Amino acid sequence: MDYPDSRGIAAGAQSAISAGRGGWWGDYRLTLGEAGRWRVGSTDIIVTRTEKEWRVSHDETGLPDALPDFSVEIPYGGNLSPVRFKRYCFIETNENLRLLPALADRFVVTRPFTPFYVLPNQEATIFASSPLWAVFWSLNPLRRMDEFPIIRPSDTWFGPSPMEGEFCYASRTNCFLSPEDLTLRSHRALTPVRIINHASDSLLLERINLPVTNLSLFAAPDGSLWTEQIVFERRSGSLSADIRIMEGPAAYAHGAELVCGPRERMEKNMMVKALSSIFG
Amino acid sequence: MDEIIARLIAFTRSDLAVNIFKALILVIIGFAVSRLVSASIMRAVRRYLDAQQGMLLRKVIYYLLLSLFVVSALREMGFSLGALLGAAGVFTVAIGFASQTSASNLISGIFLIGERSFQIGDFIKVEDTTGEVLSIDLLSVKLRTLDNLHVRIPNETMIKSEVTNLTKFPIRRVDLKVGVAYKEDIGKVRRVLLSVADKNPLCLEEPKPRFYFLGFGDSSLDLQFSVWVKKENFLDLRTSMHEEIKAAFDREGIEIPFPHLSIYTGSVTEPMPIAIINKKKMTEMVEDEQTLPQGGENTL
Repeated sequence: MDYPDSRGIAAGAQSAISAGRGGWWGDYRLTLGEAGRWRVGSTDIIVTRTEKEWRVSHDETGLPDALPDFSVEIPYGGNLSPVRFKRYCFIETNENLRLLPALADRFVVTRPFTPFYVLPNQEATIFASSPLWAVFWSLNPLRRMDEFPIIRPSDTWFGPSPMEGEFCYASRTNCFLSPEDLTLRSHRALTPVRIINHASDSLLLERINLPVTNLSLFAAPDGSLWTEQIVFERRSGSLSADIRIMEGPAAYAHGAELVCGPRERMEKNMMVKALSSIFG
Repeated sequence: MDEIIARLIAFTRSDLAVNIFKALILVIIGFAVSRLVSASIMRAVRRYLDAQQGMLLRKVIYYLLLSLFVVSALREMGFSLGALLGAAGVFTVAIGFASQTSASNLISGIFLIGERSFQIGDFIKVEDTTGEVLSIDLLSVKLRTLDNLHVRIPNETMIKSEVTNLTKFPIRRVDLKVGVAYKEDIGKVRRVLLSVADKNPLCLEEPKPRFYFLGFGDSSLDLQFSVWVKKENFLDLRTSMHEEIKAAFDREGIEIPFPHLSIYTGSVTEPMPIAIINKKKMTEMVEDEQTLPQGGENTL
């Protein structure tokens, strides 16, 4: 998985990204003393530029998550939220600002709302969504300022016992089998997960551990955000499964462009893991 | 005065003075070499040992090397090593009798270090003291309490007491005791509590929150709501959950009763008479009561 100028989470920050291409991310200009507001989902992000500092605040408004679920307002005349208000100092600020989406900084464990089985020698491709982070960069010089989850997901524990396991973020999925059924949310990324069951017994998906820190983020022209496709292949008579991360954006995201590289690179393109470490 | 100076000059030229000087140099070199060697070995093996084992190894190497230099220095000063060891044996017996507590602490310390039930940096609870382990020494364990007090607990006490390690495992359970009024719908209370846990991002989704009906209390239905949290967020979650439960109960009209007492006069007796009176009349009655002789008629 080598993308041009792909360097982890900074991948998208290296090249110019046009704002307003169906989404809330991109390059923006703020003149001295000007503020901008990005409403993504139910979260308000407000950025103000002064001579020597950028001020960033974000707060969940609690407003209903209506569609379209984002808006950008520059200049913005309101005030900074007193909650989660941070200041980033420079010798002299530059007018250019880059706002990018990124995937979560831990794996995401997604649980189907209803029990979901993949029968013997059958396969299914489900669409799981995961929460997004907002990353602010100052341009000239390129410096990362702030990073936070747009809507803070719940923590969860994934492991065989309370003594052994790892921290992840929790998510829920409807396990939709067709992309037409999906509601596109600007604060969530979609991952097609193909599950192939070669075993002679059914595979119950109680939960799926999505390795989002190993995935890249791509933006489709319609503003939807996609990752690569993940393939879980359960072999016959085995308690383990092969995991493959397919190269490039998922085929469902026509014309998608890379906006953010993976936080951690996988050593190999394919891994073998115990079923319990994937599906709980 | 001249005589004293002359004697001092003669002493400095004597063999004894030269030997004492050599011994002193040996001890000084011993301090430096022991420190240097123990630190170098520590750096080399640091990745293979935890903080406590590292500290123990460093101390053993340091004192072993230093004792070798001290013995050499004593020999330089003319002490016979055999006689010295004999004297040391007698001395050890005497010291042993005199310092049984210290010896007990020392042996307990070795067991504590070997057992590894806690390490430096862990939060432990010993009897009524809770704090972060600063060091596990041969005689005592040093703790820093949450209010920043330094507490020294003898190893013998540690061995004999129940020690709870609060940070051994990555996640902890928070048990929230909740009481609701008898009139409340338990199913609704359960749904509200689960919803509060679901909305709190610090509350782990798995292991799942658990709801327990503890029993019928004096004034309330006694419930326990148990949620899991990252060990670092324990206090934050406990506080935020209590706040959010109170807010959710207020919003949903669920009553949290305070302890109250019902006076019942028995099924065969007449109901207790209750008179509703206004404030002015009440004041008059209190004044009247104050003027009544002892053993007068009760008005309420």
